[in-house]
Amino acid sequence: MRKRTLRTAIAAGATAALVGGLVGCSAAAGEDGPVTLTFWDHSGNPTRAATYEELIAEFEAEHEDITIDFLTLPSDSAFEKIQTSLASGEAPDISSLSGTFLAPLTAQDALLPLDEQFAASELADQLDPALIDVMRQDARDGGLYALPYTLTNGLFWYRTDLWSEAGYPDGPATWDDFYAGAEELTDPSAGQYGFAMRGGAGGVFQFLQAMYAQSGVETLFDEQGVSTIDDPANVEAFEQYVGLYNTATSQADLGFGYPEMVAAFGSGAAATLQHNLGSYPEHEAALPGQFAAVPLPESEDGARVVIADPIPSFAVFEQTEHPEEAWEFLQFMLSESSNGALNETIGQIPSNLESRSEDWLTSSQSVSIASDWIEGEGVTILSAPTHLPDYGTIMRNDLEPELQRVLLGELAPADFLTLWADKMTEAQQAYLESSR
Amino acid sequence: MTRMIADDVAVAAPVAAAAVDQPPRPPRNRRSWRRSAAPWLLLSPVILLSAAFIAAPVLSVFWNAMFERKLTEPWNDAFIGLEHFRFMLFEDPKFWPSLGFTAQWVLVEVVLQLIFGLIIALVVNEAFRGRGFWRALVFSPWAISGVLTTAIWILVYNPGTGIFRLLAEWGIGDGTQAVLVDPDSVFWAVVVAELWRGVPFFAIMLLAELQSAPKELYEAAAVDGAGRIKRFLHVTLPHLKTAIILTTLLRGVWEFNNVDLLLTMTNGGPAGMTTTLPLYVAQLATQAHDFGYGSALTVFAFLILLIVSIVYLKLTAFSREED
Repeated sequence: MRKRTLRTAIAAGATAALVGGLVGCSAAAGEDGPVTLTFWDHSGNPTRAATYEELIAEFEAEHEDITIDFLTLPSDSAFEKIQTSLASGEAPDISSLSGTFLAPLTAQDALLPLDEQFAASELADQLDPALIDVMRQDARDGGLYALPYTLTNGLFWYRTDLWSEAGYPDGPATWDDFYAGAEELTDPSAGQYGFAMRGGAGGVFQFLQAMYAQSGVETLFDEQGVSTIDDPANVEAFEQYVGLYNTATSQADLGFGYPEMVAAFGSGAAATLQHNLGSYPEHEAALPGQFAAVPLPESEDGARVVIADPIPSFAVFEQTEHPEEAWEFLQFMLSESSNGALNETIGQIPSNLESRSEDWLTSSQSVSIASDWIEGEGVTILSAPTHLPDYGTIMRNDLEPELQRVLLGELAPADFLTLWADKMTEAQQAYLESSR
Repeated sequence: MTRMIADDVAVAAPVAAAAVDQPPRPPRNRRSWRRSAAPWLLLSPVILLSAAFIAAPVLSVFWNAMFERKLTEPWNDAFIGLEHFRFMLFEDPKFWPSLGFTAQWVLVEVVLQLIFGLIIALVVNEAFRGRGFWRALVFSPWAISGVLTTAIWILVYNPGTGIFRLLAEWGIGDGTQAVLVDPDSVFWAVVVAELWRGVPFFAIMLLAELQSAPKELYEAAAVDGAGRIKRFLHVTLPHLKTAIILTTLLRGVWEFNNVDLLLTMTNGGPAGMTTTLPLYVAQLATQAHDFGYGSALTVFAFLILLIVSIVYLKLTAFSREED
């Protein structure tokens, strides 16, 4: 009898412990004591993380009652990790977001609206209004759910020594220079190529930037919401750019993602690279003093069209229990000095207009040239269509394999652009329909 | 459960009669409930854990397969029945190519791994000087993680640093071949990398079975005049039959579900040529965040594996062998 009772008690105890343990896992932490905010960085970049830590230390010294729990996520899985945290109710209080994250997160109602705090703060007069507009466009209801912290656009990074030897001391200043120089600097037997092409992961956007810069087409969609990607001028530019593959690039470029492309440039195997300002620290580490940047050249008829990279931002998650402290931290991160320090580290253009007058901007060749280019006369700046919820899926899942077919000669460039345009038009029409 | 109750009734009566000084016993129904409930209570942690971490996720995949569930378009979430399966079979341009490549991949990998694994097992089963060292060497790739394996083979195939650059320095070729992006070579390039990792599995399993082969059979066959080949065909192979069936089945399932090597080495490219069905599912889930359609593909893959496994075991008469 006693044994039986004991056995039953053990069984019941084990079950209770299990259930209790599971319940305990989801129990909320105590509310007493100083506030701890979790802050996630989506970039996975150690240099950037070090700057964040310095800024956090500064913030904590100013706010003794607030502690920041900082975590940097690997960039290629940051969105999945944020999604997992949302599903489990463990989202961070604040996170930096890639430009493609904002539309899906606002669609999920995962972010806290910031309109009121922003309107009442000093940041309303300091942050670049064009970038604020992009943030609003990415939200389905036109609200403000994230604040931009940087701006960047596509450039050519080139080896100054090699391009000088080839007769172009200022690098590829025109599209003709670019194509001629890239071929001239190619010698496969020596393992030397004129250009490192991003034919793999993340490459489609770079083709988009180059194509519109070369063609001078000034809108991504016409008034009816039809994509201009298959415009004849774009087709011509795209065909020329694609023609570089395996003539001025290595065969391996077809599979190049960001790391391979940057490694090809850094190792000296490629004389030129197309990427935004964000890769500056890696070039500086690999080739100190041997490289420079030029903007993607203007079109043949003088149009200067820039498709800005998706705008990274900071956002506060709707699940936060400390919205006021989170806003306090956001204001600090976007203040003139913090925003300037962060952008100096990553070598990009600050979103805070007051930070743009700091000395380091003019002394940085790449940042000053990019900044001058987009602020110049007659420039048309287009935002990547990150407002389309399917933008990321189209650019990666749907188009990357097809782009590789183009490079392999299995799909005509014009057919690829038609396919691309159809997908963008379909997504834009669905967006316009749902917005109505 | 029924037997427990009957035992309880049969045993309880004499015990109750003998225990005169003991306090009054609880009613019979309560006692029998306690006795019958105890094993279930003891099992309940396992049952709860299995339900929470195995059954629930599997069932949720079946459930999600009938819904539109895309993280980027939550406003479209809705029950759509078998629509995903209709799209998969009749409209998805990536489904059939990925399934076809999966079948090719599994077949080539399992057959080649079996052949090379068997050869290696037969060689290292022989007595020769340094056998222990060679055994350790051939089995070592099995101990290396998948990510390291792919890193090693990416370096081997890298045109700038790999084997083709080395060959070019010796005057063979020009060193510019990028086998992982060339449609003519990519399949065999990844097959070789996976063989390097998979052959030791067959070698280990078959060697273990070889070592249990009765020596008398070989001696009897030798006395009957059977040569090496006849001994292999009529003694060794029949002895290895069960191990071969099990290892090929296991390896077939693993190769079907292989994601890490292909994802890391080719990401399914070039132009989707090395995209297996599970890799396609992974891309849908991690890049497109389309969990509804991804679940439907997973259900289909599950059914394929289930049916193929049953048919394979039937064809090889595996269960009869075991009986």
